Amino acid sequence: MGRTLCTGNYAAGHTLAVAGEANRAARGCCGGAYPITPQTEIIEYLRGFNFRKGRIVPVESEHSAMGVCIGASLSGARAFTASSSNGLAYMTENVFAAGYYRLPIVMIAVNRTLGPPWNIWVDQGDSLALRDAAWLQFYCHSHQDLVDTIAIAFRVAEDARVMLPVMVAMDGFVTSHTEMVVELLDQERVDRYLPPCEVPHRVQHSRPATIGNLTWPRETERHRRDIQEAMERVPAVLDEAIGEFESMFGRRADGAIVAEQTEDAETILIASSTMAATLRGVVRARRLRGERIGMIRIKQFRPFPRSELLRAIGGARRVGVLDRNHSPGSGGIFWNEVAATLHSSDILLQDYIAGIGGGDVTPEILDSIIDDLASRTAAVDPLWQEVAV
Amino acid sequence: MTCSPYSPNDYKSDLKPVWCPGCGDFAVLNSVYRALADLHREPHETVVVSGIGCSSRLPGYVDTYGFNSLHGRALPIATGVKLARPNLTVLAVGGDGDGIAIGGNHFMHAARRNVDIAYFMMDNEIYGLTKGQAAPTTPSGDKTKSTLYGNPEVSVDPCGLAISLGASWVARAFSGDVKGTTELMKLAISHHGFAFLNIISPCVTWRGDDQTKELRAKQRAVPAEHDRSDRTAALRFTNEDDDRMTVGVLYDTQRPTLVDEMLEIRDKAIGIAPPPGREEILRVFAPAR
Repeated sequence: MGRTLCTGNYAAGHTLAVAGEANRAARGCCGGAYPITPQTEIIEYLRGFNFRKGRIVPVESEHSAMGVCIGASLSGARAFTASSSNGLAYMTENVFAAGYYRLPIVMIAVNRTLGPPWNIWVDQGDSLALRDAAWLQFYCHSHQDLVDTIAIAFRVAEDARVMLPVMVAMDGFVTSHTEMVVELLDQERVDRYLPPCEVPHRVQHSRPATIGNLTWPRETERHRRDIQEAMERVPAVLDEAIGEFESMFGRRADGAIVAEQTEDAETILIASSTMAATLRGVVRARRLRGERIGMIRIKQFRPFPRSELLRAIGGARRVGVLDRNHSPGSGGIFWNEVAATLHSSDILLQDYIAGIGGGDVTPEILDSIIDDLASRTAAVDPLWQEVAV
Repeated sequence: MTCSPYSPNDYKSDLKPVWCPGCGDFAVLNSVYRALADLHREPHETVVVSGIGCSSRLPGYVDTYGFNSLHGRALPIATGVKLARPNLTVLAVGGDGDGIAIGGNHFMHAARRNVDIAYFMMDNEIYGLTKGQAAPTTPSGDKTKSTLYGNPEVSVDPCGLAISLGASWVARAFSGDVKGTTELMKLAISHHGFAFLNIISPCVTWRGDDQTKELRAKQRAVPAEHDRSDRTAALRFTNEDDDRMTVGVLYDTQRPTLVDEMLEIRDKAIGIAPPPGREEILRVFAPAR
């Protein structure tokens, strides 16, 4: 399709649409659409797209939007939707249902602060509140990352070895409403990249069954362990999907984590989404000044990429985690996961909570956070941006 | 006639409305100020509860207690307030999307329970805050940002819905008529039970400049001979043809409110047996020896 200047929402809407259209030779596509800032343009794009075999249903709430996806996916269609913030919160019951039904739905989560008090700017608290819902989660840092990840998400979700829903997150306004040059995916190659969606437990005339009935504890435990085992198969499936994406589209998409200059780094910063994009410039500048510093962008939050992270952190002595999210009474949610990953090491691990409620995390703020990390002899409780700078 | 200790200005908060110039909700807000002043409602004894949407910003502009709550959830919160403090004047306000779409289920139960609150629904036939998608009130066939090929769905008349669901007082107003809207608000607030006022409030941004003119042209007063206690007769003024919009009180009846019923149950329970004393409660819950 060539390079296009477009917003993150446009890029996401287009990619969902061509992925849905690609299933026209099979059981088509379907999704529920309900507007909420800042994702509304995505569902508007989908409503305007002329699917040859598919319908996007304008429903009365986010709960129903996911309900439509569940029904469509259980019937074998490729299903997708998008939401944000309190929309995701209201949708939660059906988000868990989609995961537990093992349905390969793809949802775009445009990160926005949960209210009240009302706030429309970016904060990852909305999608991270759904981290236990049996969905894969990816956090994208650019428009291209977003496009590639959405296509790969369908591939991984619908793989029989995984068969779980995927949430692809981007930063509200910073990504959703700004324009970047992006290589959008053309229909012809997406048709070839995405095989027909096959949900093995879909409703079938030849196999009448009721899905979701009462189970005994042992059966429920087995069901949850199946999900865990499916999550553990994600790295291999993702590797394949990225490899085939490269063969088809000629570029390498990012994997679970992206490590930069970590090989000999004494200090490593960990971030996600667009905060990681800002961090990259800061880290590169400090490298040029001779500091042994590196960074890791965590893109895949579920399943959490523990072994990849351990490898990338290697022999670093200090690790700082930047969290644009907060679990009250604990700290940053990425930090919690990194701490669990590094539980047996003596690395100095410090959490910095920054950009809550959409505050602008500038290179200057990141510089002062890195200075703070360098000055510490021991970690303390999570530090908030205004404390750290 | 007693003179009100308050003027409409006394109910104005320091916040400046952020609605689009020409929005019908400015007139609704003025009617709220006037109605509260005319009824002498004490600001500290008045609670305005809303959900989410353009019109749900209204509580912030009124100098009483207020909740800008969650999308679609004004009515359950207002119900909680009224049950906890039955002496307060409780208003629920919001849009047609908030009340009929995402919050539609609460509309049914608040009306059915006859909770003693006044519910003002500012109806612009569109989702305004998210910039122009079809709502359940959007007429069939209309092109919006979510119905590019025309709205395929049948629209809902909120008044018809309220009457069917058991609301004990139902009226329709046009925000362009501030005096008329104010009078209907006063009746709604004074009504003992669930009072639903559907205020047709134009959205100049997403329904076009002509909407106000068209609405003004098609408004008709409820005929003088209309029997307000007749539910079937009231339903004749719902789902009207495109060229007619009847304004005024469509339905008005009296039946016990939820608070009345709860108080009656409490009185009955106390009447059967006096509340147990502390010693008796401790004896009942004492661990077995």
